[in-house]
Amino acid sequence: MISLYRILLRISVTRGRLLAFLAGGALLDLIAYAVRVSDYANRETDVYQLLDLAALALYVPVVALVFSTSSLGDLAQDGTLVYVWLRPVARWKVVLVALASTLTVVLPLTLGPVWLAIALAGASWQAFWAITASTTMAACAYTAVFTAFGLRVRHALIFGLGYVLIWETGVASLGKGPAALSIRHYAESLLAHLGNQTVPGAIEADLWPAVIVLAAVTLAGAALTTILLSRQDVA
Amino acid sequence: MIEIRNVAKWYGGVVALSGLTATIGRGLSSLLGPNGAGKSSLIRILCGLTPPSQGSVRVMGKDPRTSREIRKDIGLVPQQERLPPGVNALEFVAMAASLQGLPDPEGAARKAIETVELDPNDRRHLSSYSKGMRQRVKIAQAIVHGPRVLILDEPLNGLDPRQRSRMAQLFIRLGGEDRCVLVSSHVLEEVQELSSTVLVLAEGKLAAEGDFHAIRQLLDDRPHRIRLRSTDPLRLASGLMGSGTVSAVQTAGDNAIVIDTWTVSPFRRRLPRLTQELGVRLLEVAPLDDDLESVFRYLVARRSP
Repeated sequence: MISLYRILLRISVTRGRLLAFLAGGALLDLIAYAVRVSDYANRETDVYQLLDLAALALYVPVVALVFSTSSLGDLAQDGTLVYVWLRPVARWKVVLVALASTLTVVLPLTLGPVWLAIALAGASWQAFWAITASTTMAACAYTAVFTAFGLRVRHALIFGLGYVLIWETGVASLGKGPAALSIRHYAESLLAHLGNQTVPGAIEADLWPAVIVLAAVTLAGAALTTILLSRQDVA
Repeated sequence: MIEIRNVAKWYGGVVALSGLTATIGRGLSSLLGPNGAGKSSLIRILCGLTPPSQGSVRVMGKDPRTSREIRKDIGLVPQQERLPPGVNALEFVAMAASLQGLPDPEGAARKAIETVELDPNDRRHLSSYSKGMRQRVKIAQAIVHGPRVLILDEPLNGLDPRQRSRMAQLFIRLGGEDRCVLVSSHVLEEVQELSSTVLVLAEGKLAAEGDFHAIRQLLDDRPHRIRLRSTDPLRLASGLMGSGTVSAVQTAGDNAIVIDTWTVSPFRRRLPRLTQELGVRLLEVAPLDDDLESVFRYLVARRSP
């Protein structure tokens, strides 16, 4: 399975993608630094708002989307899934390897810029731990959901971007109902509770329900991917 | 080893396979048919990559769609050329060996790559390989675990004549090792070189099956239409009608006649002698319906009730 992990990793990590997301992360860090120099008194609150709006609502889901849809999804689209599918390996193991290889890229690419943002903004250690936990759990949930999405939907990247921009960053902020169906909502709740801060504009859930929902979404996404892979019509 | 029972496959309103029943045993067999005949659909069903819309398939007694066990015994060379980007041949074939659960994936991969006459130490990415080299890498990943059922979808495509001959020899050798090897092709000459057992597929139906020579005979014993251009077409037409080797003759202009014959071999033998006897010089002999498409259409029509 290590060889499959390595090959999946190599397929999804391209120079273009890495450069694009490093640039996106750098922009996040630049804004974090601007927060520090512009509004020293409220910087902790401002940092939380920045991490919620820029990282959890946009940067983390987009990074997860790009790398998740390209792991098994790209194999299915270009006809190379057959080389994995036709092997006597349990489908859940293949899915686990795909998720692991995606998270190997997604976690450093998301955690790196948010850690740097915390440092540049001069925020507290509590903010550091809060954003680490919420980013990690959100990245896992998004990765699991988007891997299934990539396997099932053609042009998953385009539809996924639509979902992130319209639902996660837009509709989910409008009220408790849509927020309950948004991964971002639970991730920002986690950020707020662990950081012991009010995130401006956030509709908060309780701590443990947020943790449980994010974990459940991750498991459900992985299970759904396994089912889809088993029923896949392989070209 | 492979049992196909009343298999049909349709995609929306398009019927790819219809009422196919056949048994494929040990040894090397060929699946012959023109492009679009349903060969790749059948191969995908045999490997479990897609379920049949109707009917059933058993490979060594198991359903290839649901049995994980059977996937240990199947090797497939798919038709599509694309291979994973950013990896070399050894990594790709070693991945196949590893997923098959072999104890020494790299060793097995090296052996398989050498079997298809490539260099396992070649570190170039597969994307830089020629079409023929990629085809051989696909064969290597299919044979790396020594499958008992080896299915190859147009495996000789893209190979030069020398490579074709070497790979054909490899398939013949593998077919002789107590395993079932099924090779698909749309080229009659390829099949002739490969195997004695042939399944002919056309328009999604089994058009003929059996020994290659019997199939060849069947192809020869159909009505043939041939255009003959000569220095004296009327004299030739008269002579041919009297020879008893043609069933109909019609003039076609430009010093040409078109003849129909059911006995093409005797006709071919008789024609040179007849033209000599008649003092007619032949300028052109052109079969009008000898392309594979029309041959397969004839076979399908012949089997249809």
